[in-house]
Amino acid sequence: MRGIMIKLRNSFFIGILMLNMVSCSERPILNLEEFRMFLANNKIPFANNEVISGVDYKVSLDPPELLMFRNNIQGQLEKNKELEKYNKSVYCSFIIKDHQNSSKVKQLIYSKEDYFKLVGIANLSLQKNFKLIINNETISCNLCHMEPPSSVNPELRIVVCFDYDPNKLYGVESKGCEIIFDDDIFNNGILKFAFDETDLKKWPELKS
Amino acid sequence: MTKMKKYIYDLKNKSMKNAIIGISLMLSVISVVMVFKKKQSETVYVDGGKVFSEFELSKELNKDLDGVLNARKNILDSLYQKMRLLTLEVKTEGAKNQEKVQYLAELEEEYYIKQQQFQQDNKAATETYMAKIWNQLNQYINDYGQLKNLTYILGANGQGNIMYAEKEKNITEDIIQYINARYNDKIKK
Repeated sequence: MRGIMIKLRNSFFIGILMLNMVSCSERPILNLEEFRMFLANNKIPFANNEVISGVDYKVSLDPPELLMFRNNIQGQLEKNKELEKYNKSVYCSFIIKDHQNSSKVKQLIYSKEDYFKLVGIANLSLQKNFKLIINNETISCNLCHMEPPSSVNPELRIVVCFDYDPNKLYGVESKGCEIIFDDDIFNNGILKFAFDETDLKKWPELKS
Repeated sequence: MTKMKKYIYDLKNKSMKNAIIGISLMLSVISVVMVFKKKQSETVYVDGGKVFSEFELSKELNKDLDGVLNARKNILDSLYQKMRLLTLEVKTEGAKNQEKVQYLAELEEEYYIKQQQFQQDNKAATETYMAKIWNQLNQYINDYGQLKNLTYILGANGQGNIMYAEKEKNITEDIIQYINARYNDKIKK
């Protein structure tokens, strides 16, 4: 009798553990308000940076929900429309700025000759320099936009877009990704930014 | 009452003694750590050529560069071949066909212009690729030195920079592993 009781108790605990594991592997589903609160209280984890010869490269993946909330949406109808817009591609943003005492970016922005060279690169070849790698598959960049830098804050902001379903990147299916940038602006070579699957899997889903 | 006072005095004395022992122990631990750290900051050397050739970025870019150089070489080779055949034809015909002679002269001109242009482009491309590799390599070696608390990392390339050094000071393999891990973003920053 005692042996049976122990076996029952053990199987009960194992059952609870299994339930926990199943619930942990699922992507949390939040409604509009909960998502807003989640974004307000949490730092977006998909950021990576690298410093090469005085230039600081910061890359961040922008999930569709984040982009949608940035547009300050109101109501369900607007939400669906915005989400549909961003659900077609994977968006990411690059911020390139000077590291500590370096002034390479500043010089590039303020020198007329260098700035024209930068605009030439941005218009002609920059798009080809970005690649997204998911599951050993290389996805080319389908949109690349460099914001005109302001004189107050000398940094380059580039928005890059890849033709890949973001629902496969964020969520349980995620296997992580790698963004590759071949820097022709500062001649700093190929830079690889890896994004771990564990964080991507935890990204919540917006309740439809 | 006096007994009580004596007891408190003894207690205070004891705690003072303990505190002094504790502080002295802490100081000795700190000094040991400092000595150890000082010992760690040392001079090492790397085989510069090996580091450069084993760096994954340089392998990738060299492949690209070879592709570009070969494509240009093929263009020049086919032009040269065309020119050679035409020269033979003109020689056998004895320069009777003026059109062919004219065409040969144009081909020769095109060949020399292209040759010069490709030479300049190849030089510029090689310089750009080298700059890309060295910018990253210097940064990673610099970071490695800071991480390992090294005073100097010398480059030995068999051209007289370092004539002799102990084998234990050679960190080439270690640094190759580190720079490739950094390049592939396998090290958490």
